[in-house]
Amino acid sequence: MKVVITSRENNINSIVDSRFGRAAYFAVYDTDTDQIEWLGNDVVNTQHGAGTGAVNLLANLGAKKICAVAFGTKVKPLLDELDIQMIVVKEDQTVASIIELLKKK
Amino acid sequence: MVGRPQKIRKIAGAPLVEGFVPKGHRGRQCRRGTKCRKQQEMILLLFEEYESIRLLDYVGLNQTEAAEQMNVSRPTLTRIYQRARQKVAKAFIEGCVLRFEGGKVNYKTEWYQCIDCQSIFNISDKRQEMDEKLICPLCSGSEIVVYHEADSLMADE
Repeated sequence: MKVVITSRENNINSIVDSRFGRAAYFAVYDTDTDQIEWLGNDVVNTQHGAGTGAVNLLANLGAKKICAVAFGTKVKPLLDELDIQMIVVKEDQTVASIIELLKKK
Repeated sequence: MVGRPQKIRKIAGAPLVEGFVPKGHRGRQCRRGTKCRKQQEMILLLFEEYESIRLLDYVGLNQTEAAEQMNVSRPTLTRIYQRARQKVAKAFIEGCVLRFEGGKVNYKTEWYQCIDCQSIFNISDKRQEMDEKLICPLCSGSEIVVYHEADSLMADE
């Protein structure tokens, strides 16, 4: 299952990006393979619709859960429709620490 | 006089279908001998009216509970429900098309918090919400509480 984590930089020790639509990078972690794919955010510079653009980008990859510090009001109905779960994580965590939590059973 | 602006009504989700179309006109003709035009009239059911029928007639809540769920007063809920029933009755009897239309609504968000990792999450699969035991989608913790102040979770873009 693919879990997306917003990230400020494209390495595992980076802090979770506090934005969703305009996050610098997305870490796509696959819980089955324990692999991470790093995506630069293409929609970061759009004037409007960064959140919804990001959702479409991630939905096409088959993401099932998204971890971010905050989500905009326009992405909630879209994520609901796509059956993607939203997880609001505490600020100042690293991507690595989130992945550690995911590995817990 | 205009009065206070309407409070935004909360509904759980949009209706499954766009509306209903009556089937098979029974051929009763108007006095003029032409097919009755009334069957062409479209009735617009607002989402909040749809929701009132869903909560009261389908789920079986009482009016106090339904009003609370929808974030309106009980008298307001009664008015919404009465309008809804009247519209449905009219569509039924006169054979009108029934269509769901947006009113002043806001989608209700149910959020939960994990005591262990402090993450806050929603339930994407509606069926899961019925389950007694929720577990944290992040750390699999089993201590979950309902999270209030859901509005503060939504950042402004």
